[in-house]
Formats: sequence, structure tokens, C-alpha cells
Amino acid sequence: MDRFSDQVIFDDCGPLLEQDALEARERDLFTILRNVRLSDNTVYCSGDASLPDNMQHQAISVAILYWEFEEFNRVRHVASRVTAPDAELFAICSAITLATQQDNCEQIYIFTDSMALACRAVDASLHSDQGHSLAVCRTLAAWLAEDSSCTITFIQVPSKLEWSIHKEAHDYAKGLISPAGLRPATSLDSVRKAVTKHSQETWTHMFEDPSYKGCNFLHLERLDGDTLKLTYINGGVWLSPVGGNLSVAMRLFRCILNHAPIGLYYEQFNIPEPLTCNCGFHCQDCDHVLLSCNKHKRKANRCPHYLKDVIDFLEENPSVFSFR
Amino acid sequence: MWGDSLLHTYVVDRFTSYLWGSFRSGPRQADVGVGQGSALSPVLSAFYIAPVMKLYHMQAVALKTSLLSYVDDGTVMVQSKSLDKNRETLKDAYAVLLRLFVAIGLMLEHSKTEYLIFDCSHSDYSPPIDLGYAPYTGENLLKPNLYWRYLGFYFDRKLLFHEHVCYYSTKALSLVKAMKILGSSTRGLPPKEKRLLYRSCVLPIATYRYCLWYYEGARCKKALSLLKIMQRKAGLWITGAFSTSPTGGIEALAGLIPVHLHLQKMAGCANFRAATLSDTHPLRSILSQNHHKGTHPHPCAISQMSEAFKRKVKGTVMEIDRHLPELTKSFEPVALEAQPGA
Repeated sequence: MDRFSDQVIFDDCGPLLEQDALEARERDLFTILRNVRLSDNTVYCSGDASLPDNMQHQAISVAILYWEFEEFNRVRHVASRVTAPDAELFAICSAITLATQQDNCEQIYIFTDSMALACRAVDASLHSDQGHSLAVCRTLAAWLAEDSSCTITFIQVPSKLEWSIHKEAHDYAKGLISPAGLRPATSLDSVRKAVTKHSQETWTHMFEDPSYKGCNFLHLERLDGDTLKLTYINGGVWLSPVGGNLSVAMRLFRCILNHAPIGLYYEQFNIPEPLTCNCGFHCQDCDHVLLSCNKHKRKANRCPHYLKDVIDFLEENPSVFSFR
Repeated sequence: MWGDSLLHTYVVDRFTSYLWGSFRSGPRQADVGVGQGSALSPVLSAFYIAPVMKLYHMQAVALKTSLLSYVDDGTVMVQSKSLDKNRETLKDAYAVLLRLFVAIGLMLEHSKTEYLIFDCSHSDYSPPIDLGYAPYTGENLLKPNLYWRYLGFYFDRKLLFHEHVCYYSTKALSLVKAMKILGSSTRGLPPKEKRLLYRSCVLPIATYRYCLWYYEGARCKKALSLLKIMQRKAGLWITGAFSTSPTGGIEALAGLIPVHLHLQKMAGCANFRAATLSDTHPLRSILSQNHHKGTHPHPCAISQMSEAFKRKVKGTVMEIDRHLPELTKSFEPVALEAQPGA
């Protein structure tokens, strides 16, 4: 494919976080679409995939092809049990294969939501869904070699925009729900993902046992109300929000484990230190410090449900859970 | 011609100097041999050793031995039901090998010879060898080693790899202890960086070549307990928690998956890598019929085993063979389209 590098064009907009940038991109996309519709011998397609939210169903890949102002072909394939990138790649692959079969086609425009996958589609080296990339490379190499004026352009559509023809492909993909069958096809990434998921679930299951995690482990919630889930990605849920701040992190971990320099701990482990709190309370335990001790400043007098609450409390009172 | 000048630059006009404390000797000419770690030495040794290996296979057909060589490190392997018979065969094989090497103008260092017995029976019988060459002759016989280090693996007599796990988990543990100077619970590195350091510098060392000893049905409880101790130490260092804290809580807070699950995950993912190997990869020759592709089946391949025997055998290769059919995609690692300019 590297012989045709000037005939394969990528229109990349990068990650767009700002609302203004998104709107600007939308305007650009409409301009591109108008120009494409008015030009001769041009096929433009949009591809998308939908992934089921359970294990019983399979992924769907969709490609819709247009010529001037009209749609002339749409295909919907079942992609079996694969990851989202694999299914998207399948959609791009079927779009390209069908577009190159069209008579008098000299320009192909492909609207897709991931530029990384567009690059992967024309890369025949070893990766999770190499079969589809090989098919794309074979078709495109033959088609591009015929005429040096032929070009193929990949245009990125941020999926957040829900933009005209891309939205149509998205809805068409969502429209079909197909059961996975007894022996669904898999890809390298999907089998690896299954292995990782299994390990993760075993860990979550292990964590439910109080003798493993410790019987006084403090359970907190995320701000949206979900309980914190175990993960090892990005340092885990507890480490990632406080990972950069040594003092707060250390005090937070001691507080959650309930193994902290407080009276209750000294009593349990027979350490000759005072058991009473600074405020005069007879038994200094974790709940007392977090909830009712009048020596510390706190925003609200409620039981700390959220991890964020505890972190704010520790940041406000640097002496909490530190050594006297 | 270019080969000539290439060799010239490598071998001629090299100098070496010696360093003793603060004293440094003047440069001495070192025109003999190639430098230590030079890129040329494996190629040159392959040029020299290949004909020896060829001649050995022709001359020692009757001995039924196999000869392996990794750069300048040769291994002669003999298999039979009796250790005494093996000993005699090895001695003969060594004599043949030495004659060939001397004939081509090379030397074998007898003192560097090592001898190891692999035996799954419970007996401790390990007959020493009279090699016939100094220093292993007469009174001073060549005794078998308890374990053998080869390419970073520690092989033991029963192939249980206890020594291997011990070595690498101790190494990781001492690394964790040494890392404590980088930060404590009051100063030094923040926990995120500590965790990154552990994940990237310690865990890969602790799990080096885990495929040797970790597979379904392997007896590795002792090995895992060593690794668990190591991970707990690291977790305590990362979170700054008290040493009385429960392991599960520490691991969850530090975002470290328990070691046995980490190994399970890595082993499970690695099984599918066999699908991405080229059609002529040696690993394919020991798998079952569907995975041979372009290779000839090895005499000990899974395809040559009976069903009853297959059930008894455990190991990483069996795992690969069992899990590979779960992956339905096929790969072309050397596809024509992936070549530059294709």
C-alpha cells in the first residue's frame, strides 16, 4: 500500500473537546458533503458498528453507499463476538469493497468515527483483524493501480455530533439484534478481552470476602452513586484521584483500611498510646473522626458516602489520621 | 570484497588497556579474537560450528544423541532408560566432539563442562562421569549439578522450576526493598509513581518466563506464595499502610491485581499468540494436526499422542493447543501486502 500513499488521504480532526470546535467541525463536514455530492464519478459511504450490551447477542457492522444525492446500496453484516474496533473495521472493509465495484468510480469518500481504524484498514501488518485489512489492501491496490487519478479519502466524524449520514448508519446498525449462536466467531482482541474479563471478575469475587479485604474496609461511592469498582487500569479507583498527593493519599488509605494512628487501632494492637481523642471523646475511632469530632472542619454533617467527600475532608484538615 | 574490509575493521588495530583502581595501563595491541559482546562473534562462531555439527551428526549416528548449540554454548543430550548407559554414551559423544573441534582448529574448555541429569523418579542416584580429560579424570570426576542455568532459566532435576521461581522472586523482593530509599509514607515519590515503578520494573522480573511453571493444573502453590509476599511488600510501600493491614485491601487500594490472577491473565492472553506465528515456526511442529501448517510433526508432538496420554500431560504447550480453537481468525504474519513497496 505504501506505493499509493499520495492516493490515500486522511482527513483527521483529532480529539475535539470544546463545543465550539465541534460546531466548526460540523460546518466543515457539511461543506465537504456538498462538494462531494456535486462532483462527478464519486462514491461516498458512511460506516458504523453497534455492539450489544450482553453476551447473548453479536456485533453488527453497517455500510451505506451514496452516489450524488441518492443512496444506492446499504449492507448490514453480523460481525459475531468481536470488539468495537474489529466491527468498525469490518464496516470500513465492506464499504470499500462495494465502492470499488461501482462502475466509473474515481473518488471514494468514507465517513467514519475513528481515524485510527481507517489507518489500520490500509495496514496489512499483523493485528487483531488482519483478515479484513488484507482484503482492503488487495482490493484497493488493484483499484488504485488502474488509474493514478483515483483517490480514497477517509473523513473523521466525531460520533458525539450524531451527524446526518453517519447518524443514519448508526441507526441502521442499532436496528438489528442478532443472537450470537453456539460457536460465535472471535478475533484476537476479543478472546484476550474475555481472558482479562475473567481475571477481573475473579478478583471482584475474591474482594467480596471480608477475610481478604479486611472486615473494616470503608465502602465509599462515586459521585454518580455507583459503588467503587475494582480495577487495575490507570492505578485503580482509589489511587487515581489522589495519586499525586503523598500526604492525602497515605491518610486516605489508612482511613479506608481502618489501620490508622487512632485510639481504636492502638487499643486493638496493644500499643501504649492514648486512646482518647483530642476533643475529649473516650474512644477515638474512624467514624468519630470523620463524622463528629469538633476539632476538625467539615462541610456537611452527614455520613461520608462519596470518595470525593473524604478526600476534601482530608485536604481541609492536614492533621487528620496523621501521627501526633 | 566488502566482507574482507568489514572483518578488517573488526579485528585489526584494536587496542585494550587494563584498569586497577586508579592505575590505568597503556594501550596494548589486541589483534587476536573479536571483542567481548561484538556483533561479529555469533556470526563467526556459527560459521565455525556449523560444519562441526554436520560432521558430528554423520559420525555419531549410532550414539543417538542430539546436539544443540547457542552461539558458543553447545549441549549434548542423551535419552535412555538407564543413567549408567547415558553416562557411557555421553563420554563417547564428548570424545567424538572434541576430535572434530581439534581437527578444525578449535578448543573445548574441559573445565567449563557441566553435567545435569533429568530424572522424574524418586531416586537420588547420580553417577559422576570420568570425562577422560583434565580436570575431570581419575579421582576428580565430573559430578552432576543440582540445577543448570541456561538462557536465564534455571532447570532442575525434576523440571519443577522451583529454583527458577525462587531466584526471580527473591530478586524482585530485594528490588522492592531497595526501592524503599526512593520514598516513604512522608516524603519521596508520590504513590502513583511508586506504583508505576513496581508495575514496570519489578513485576516483569518476578514473572520472567512464568510459562515454565504456571499453567492449568501446575503445582505452584509455593511459588505463588513467594510472589504474594513480594507483592504485599510492594503494596505496603505504595500505599504507606501499616504492616498489620489486610493484603486484599492493600492490593485494591494500590490497584494491583493479585499475582495469581495476573499470571492467569498473562498466560491466557499468551496462549493465543501461537496463532500469529509464521507457518514454519518450530512451535507449530509440536502442536496438534490442525496447527502444523508448513512444519513436519515432531516425534513428541501432540498430534502423535494417544487420547489417554494427552489427558495425562500438562504444560503450557497443551494449554496453547487446547485454547487455540477458541480463536476463529487466522493471521498472515508474512503477508505479501505488508511488504514494503507491495
